[in-house]
Amino acid sequence: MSDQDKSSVQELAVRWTQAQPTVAAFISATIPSFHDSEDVLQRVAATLVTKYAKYDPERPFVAWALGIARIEVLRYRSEVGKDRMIFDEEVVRQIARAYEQIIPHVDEMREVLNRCVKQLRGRVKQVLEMRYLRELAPARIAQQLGMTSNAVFVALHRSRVALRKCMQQGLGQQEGNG
Amino acid sequence: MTDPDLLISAYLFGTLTDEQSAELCGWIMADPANARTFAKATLADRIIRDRIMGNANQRLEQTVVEGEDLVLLASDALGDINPNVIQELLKEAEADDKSVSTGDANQSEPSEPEDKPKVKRKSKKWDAVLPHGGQEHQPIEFSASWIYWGAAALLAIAFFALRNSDLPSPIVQPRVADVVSESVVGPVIAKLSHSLGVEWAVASGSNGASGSNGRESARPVTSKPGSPLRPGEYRLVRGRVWMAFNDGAVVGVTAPALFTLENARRMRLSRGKLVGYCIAEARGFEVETPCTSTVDLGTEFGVQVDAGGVTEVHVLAGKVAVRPVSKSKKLGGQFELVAGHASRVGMRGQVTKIGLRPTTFRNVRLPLGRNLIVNGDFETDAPGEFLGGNPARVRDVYISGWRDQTGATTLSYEGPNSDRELAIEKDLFPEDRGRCYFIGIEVGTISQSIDVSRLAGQIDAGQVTFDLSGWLGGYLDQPDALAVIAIALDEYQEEMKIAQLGPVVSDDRDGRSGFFRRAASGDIPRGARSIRIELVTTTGVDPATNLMDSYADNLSLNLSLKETPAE
Repeated sequence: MSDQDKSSVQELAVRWTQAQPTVAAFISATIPSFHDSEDVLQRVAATLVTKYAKYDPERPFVAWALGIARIEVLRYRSEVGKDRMIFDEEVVRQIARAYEQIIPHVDEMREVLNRCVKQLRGRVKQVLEMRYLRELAPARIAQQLGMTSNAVFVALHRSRVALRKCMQQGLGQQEGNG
Repeated sequence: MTDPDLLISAYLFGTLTDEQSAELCGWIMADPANARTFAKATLADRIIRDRIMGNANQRLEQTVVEGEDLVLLASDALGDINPNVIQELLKEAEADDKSVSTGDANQSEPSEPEDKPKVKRKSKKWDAVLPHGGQEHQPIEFSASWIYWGAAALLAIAFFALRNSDLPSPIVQPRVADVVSESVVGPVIAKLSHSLGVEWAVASGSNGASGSNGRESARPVTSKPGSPLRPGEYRLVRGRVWMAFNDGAVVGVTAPALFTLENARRMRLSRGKLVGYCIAEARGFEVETPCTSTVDLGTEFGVQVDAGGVTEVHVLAGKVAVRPVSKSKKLGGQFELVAGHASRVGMRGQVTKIGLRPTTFRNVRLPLGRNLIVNGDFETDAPGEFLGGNPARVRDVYISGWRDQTGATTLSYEGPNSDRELAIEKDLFPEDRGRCYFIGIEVGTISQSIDVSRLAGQIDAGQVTFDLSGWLGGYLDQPDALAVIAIALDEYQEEMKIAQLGPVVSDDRDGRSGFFRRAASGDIPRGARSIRIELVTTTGVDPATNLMDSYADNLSLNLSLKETPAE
């Protein structure tokens, strides 16, 4: 392998590390099943490797990777059938465009949200962990905590709203500090 | 219309109804700003998920600095928060539940689209979870999950490529070699064949104490191939494992998964997904889930169990017998599924036909019983084009799946290049030729690497054989030659040539233009972890056209398990 090839592979690795969270989020946003979205994410990674020779460095890598992810999501949709997908092709395209537009804010969002999540405590943290770590549906969480499904949903919803507000305030303060 | 913020929550938490789905789609399409709000919400959700998963593991986090070094970042101390606030939140939620419906926006906290200015919040209690004013200088953090997938997956690809000088299939190498103590309770019923990035949950009450469901607690294993596996419950938090059962079945499981090994012919998958591969001797191997019993009838099949126990069975080859089960009672209605078909079984035994999704099991499929050469039929890309001229010119195309830095390209059997294509005699076309074939344009090599490490245990036991075949050829009596070479590489990248097809020279073709099938077979050498396939064009550029006319098509590499393991 030539030095140029090695450099190219290293370059791809660095770019993917930066782009992967956004691409993963886009796939998760369009494919409800976590297992399936991880599968599609791997397929995107594989495609990026094989197509990297055709990548135009003048173009933002994240946008290029999102384009490939959009194609893979649509391919997945055609494979599994429409009944397994909530969004049709046009909605997927609209979401992909939206993701391209929010790329400049991703790093800030991640930084602030990570701080917000670290401050969670108690049962809200427990409910979120049951949802995300154990992938339990609200009904199962309710069963285990002796709550109703609606109460769990409301708790999850309010957690999300609260974390969003936390993020908004954090972003505002960052801008203010900046 | 339902509050869009509630719709987004319902979507994220999996409670969206069909009607709400339509509402959400309409709202997203109504305005690009709505789509951005949805994008931000889903991005935030992913960040939260990854952060929580990262916190749960509290492991050393690794990130990449300029693609060269792995830097260890220690987990930061948690910030302050008043836990009473959270408790009150839950109380509020429970109180609200008496009157709140998830679809009724009026009963829930008003939402705030991210793009709009903030309004006065319903409760100031949320102030307690706000960050500390952004006054602390904190480095940008990377969640464990992102680091795992981003750095491990892609850098593993890069690492592999660096070592092999070939573009490989994407392989996730282990981030951390998790080694835990080994229990010695119960008979050995299987052996660990291979693992990637494995992390097992620490079993509660190990060494004989009861785990969940009153079963024996998980039996920790080492991550080394050949490690013994005994009956018990296993909880795989990260990574993938492949296990070889004593009776011949080989099963790959991907995290997150909870499974129980019962004996050498039966296991139970409570959650997650697996692929089972059974040679003839292993027929009758059974995989139980909360709502099915799947018995192998000589096949390769995938089973996926979601958090609610709903089970999907996909048959990739051969056939299986599926019996819906409810609370350990067999419901009757056993049915057979054959290759290419899949079904979903609900917790009450209801069976639904679904489309086969082999890609769902791609991460754990075993490299057995199918062609492992990517784009071996050269049909993936639009073909190049013979442009004529003297010297002859060909529009080169990149050949997907191959490391292609030569002038090699593909051409269509039925392209406009009539004087050349028509010279290929039709009785010398490959069987099932498709549209395109490979043509070497200049002396050089294209190659690809195939990861076979998932079969490490079987390979090291001398149990894996290969069949390599392809159609090779050339043009009239011209001396151009092409060979297909298979090279096994061990974990240190030591190479061993295991087979060569061709070249098929003009004498072999009696001076006729066309293809001949060539094949070779043998054992995969012990220690092999990957196989490199090279297409080598070696000699004889046609001086008249300056164009090599060495052809190849329908290349295939299949691995199989021997019925009886070698000594």
